[in-house]
Amino acid sequence: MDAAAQLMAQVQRGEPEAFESLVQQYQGPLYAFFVRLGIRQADAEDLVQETFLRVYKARQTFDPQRTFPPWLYGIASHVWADYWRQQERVQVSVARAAQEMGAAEAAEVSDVRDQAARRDVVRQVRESMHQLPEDHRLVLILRHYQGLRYDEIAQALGLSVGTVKSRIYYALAKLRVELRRRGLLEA
Amino acid sequence: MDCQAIREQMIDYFYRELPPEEWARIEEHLLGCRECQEELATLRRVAATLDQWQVPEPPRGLVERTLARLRAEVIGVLPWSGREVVSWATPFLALGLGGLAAGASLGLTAHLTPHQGTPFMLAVLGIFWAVLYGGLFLATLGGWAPWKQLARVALLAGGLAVLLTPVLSIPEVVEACGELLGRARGSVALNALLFLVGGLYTAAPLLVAHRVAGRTPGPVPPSQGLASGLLYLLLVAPVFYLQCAALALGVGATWMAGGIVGVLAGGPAGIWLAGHRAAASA
Repeated sequence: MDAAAQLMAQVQRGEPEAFESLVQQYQGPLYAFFVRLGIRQADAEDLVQETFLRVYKARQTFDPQRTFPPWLYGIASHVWADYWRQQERVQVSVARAAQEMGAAEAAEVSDVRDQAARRDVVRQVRESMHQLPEDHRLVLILRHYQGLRYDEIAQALGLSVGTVKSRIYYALAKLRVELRRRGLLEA
Repeated sequence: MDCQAIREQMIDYFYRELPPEEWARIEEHLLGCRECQEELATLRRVAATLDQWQVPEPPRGLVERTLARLRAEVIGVLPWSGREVVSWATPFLALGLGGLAAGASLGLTAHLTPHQGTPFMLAVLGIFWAVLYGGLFLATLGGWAPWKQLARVALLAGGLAVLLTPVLSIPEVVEACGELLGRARGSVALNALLFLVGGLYTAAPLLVAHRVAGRTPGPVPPSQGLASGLLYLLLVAPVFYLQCAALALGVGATWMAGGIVGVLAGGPAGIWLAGHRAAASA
């Protein structure tokens, strides 16, 4: 049983402190997950909260013999899908998210000389990622940034491992072409 | 193993998604194949470029806000205890708060109803309010998520209406309407005005309550607005009834009809306004 699954087992037994540890541990990865999926930062916090609320409500359906992250990201993916369904002005939000993220990321770069160049790379990576179909982007983010294995992604999203693999292959192939076109892949 | 087969597994190799023997076979092939080494190097450059996309840390206090929301919406935790309320204390606490609210409501409104305010009537009204307030407090404090939001809005709207009553009682408003229209008692114009003002007078606390306490994530069906409106109406019905009973029958009936329509329209309208506000801020 992994550490997070153990905490969930404690939550199931009615120990709220264990849930606080889970929130501490996964707030950062979940926040990054939503931001990379194109949620603007102000809304990403709401989605993180909503995910944890759903996790708590569904706590008794979690099997502590399994790993926690696939279950968590399965719920988070539903939260993300529900969010977009509610949004009427998706394009506006994505554009705003891009602006906000550009500003925040710029603030994080410590070396002033590299700031402009790095911001440009980050912007181009983000734009390239957002050219992928949503379902491909979701799978790639889960594999590359969140570190889930193919079988865990398949479990989280209710897909076959073959589908997960083919989406990752397609996404990386398309990204490779796009990054090369933007001049980001020179040796 | 030829290069084509190796390249088909290159991404699995990179992400270490292969069984050890497959992984070792590709490793061995790579040692002697410059083209496949190039392919792997390109894949690593793609990954390294993706890795440059770092996102900011979550905002400070996210954990605390998440836990506070969890307590408020799901667990039903008392803010000062940090413990889940599943004990025997919650119903007693709710009933105690309900009793206090009932006492305060009686204190604020009993003197406005001299004709109906017999001890027996006041006792019945006090018990009615204590039970109703207590139930709403229980729904707010307890873990019944579907009822929590409705109860919160109904409590706030009812409290506002009771507070409004001594400041601006229904007979005073009716009197002002009569003066406005030159005391055209019984006329169609006065009845229409009373109907309209009665609706607004009743709906206003509900709209304010939705604005203050009605913020929920995601869309809320208008039926929830209707349900919270009906709970609110139940809460304030005695005050309105006792005040309207002091009026002429036609005037009181017109006012109450306007009030009922105001609640039926005000609940869903409050939900719509809260949703509109949430959409505008998104």
